[in-house]
Amino acid sequence: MKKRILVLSFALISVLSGCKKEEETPAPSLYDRLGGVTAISAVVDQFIANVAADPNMVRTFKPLLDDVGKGNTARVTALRNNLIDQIGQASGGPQMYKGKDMATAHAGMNITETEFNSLVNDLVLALDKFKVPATEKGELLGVLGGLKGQIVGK
Amino acid sequence: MENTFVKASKRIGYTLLGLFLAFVVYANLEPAPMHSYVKPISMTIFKVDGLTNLEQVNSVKEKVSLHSGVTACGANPVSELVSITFDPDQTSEGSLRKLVSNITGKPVQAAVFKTDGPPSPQCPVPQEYIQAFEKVKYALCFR
Repeated sequence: MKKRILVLSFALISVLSGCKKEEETPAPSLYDRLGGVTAISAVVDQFIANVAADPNMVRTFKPLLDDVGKGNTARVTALRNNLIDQIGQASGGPQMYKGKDMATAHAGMNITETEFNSLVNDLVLALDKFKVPATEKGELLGVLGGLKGQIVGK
Repeated sequence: MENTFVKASKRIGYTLLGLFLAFVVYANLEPAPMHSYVKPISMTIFKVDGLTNLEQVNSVKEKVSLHSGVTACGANPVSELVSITFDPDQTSEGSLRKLVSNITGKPVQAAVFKTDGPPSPQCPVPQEYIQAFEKVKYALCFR
């Protein structure tokens, strides 16, 4: 009898703990659904390549583009690192963006609506190249689109 | 005289050791950021006169992207520019220049950027210095 009670108790505890675990399992973050740091860095590389060839981006990125022309890629590396960290953090990844906030980083740059829209288009093209699903693309663009007010016209 | 020299050397040694240990502690205050685990890239931008056809632009992007060591390729028919990010351990600017020239059949030059708008403000500290400091910091981070 005692043995039966013990077995039943053990089974009950197992079932209950199993249920609890199921409830606690969080939904995968946007970061995980995008594919983690490797996928994000691939998208960022494509985004940077798109931006560098975009005629609407020349004014904003001129110092970076001039440096690339001289064989100095330090600015590209800095931009890439910041983008990986920023997108990683914004999508719920373990990254910590440590760059300046968007308003400070873009102060005095007089970024126009056209330039911002071109930049978003370059990101959309990068996401499309890697066939990022519409849901994830929408979520990511929504997060980054929220920063528009801190970037345009500063 | 000799005693003073030994004392001074010891003081300098202890100070340097202290500074090094302080830097190690600083480097380990927080884990290294995720971007430090991603392989670094290099970049090059070419001007290809006459690259105005959208089909040819797409063909360049597709073919260059397949080349070993290339992480991304962008091209634009308006600017006639081809930009490539690549792993410098696997390919070089010279071989990419040849590749783009072979694909397009057009002369490939270094891109020059001109703009009429106001210049963007720049960071007073050269990025190379900041990145060199970060590299040492992450090398000493054991978390």
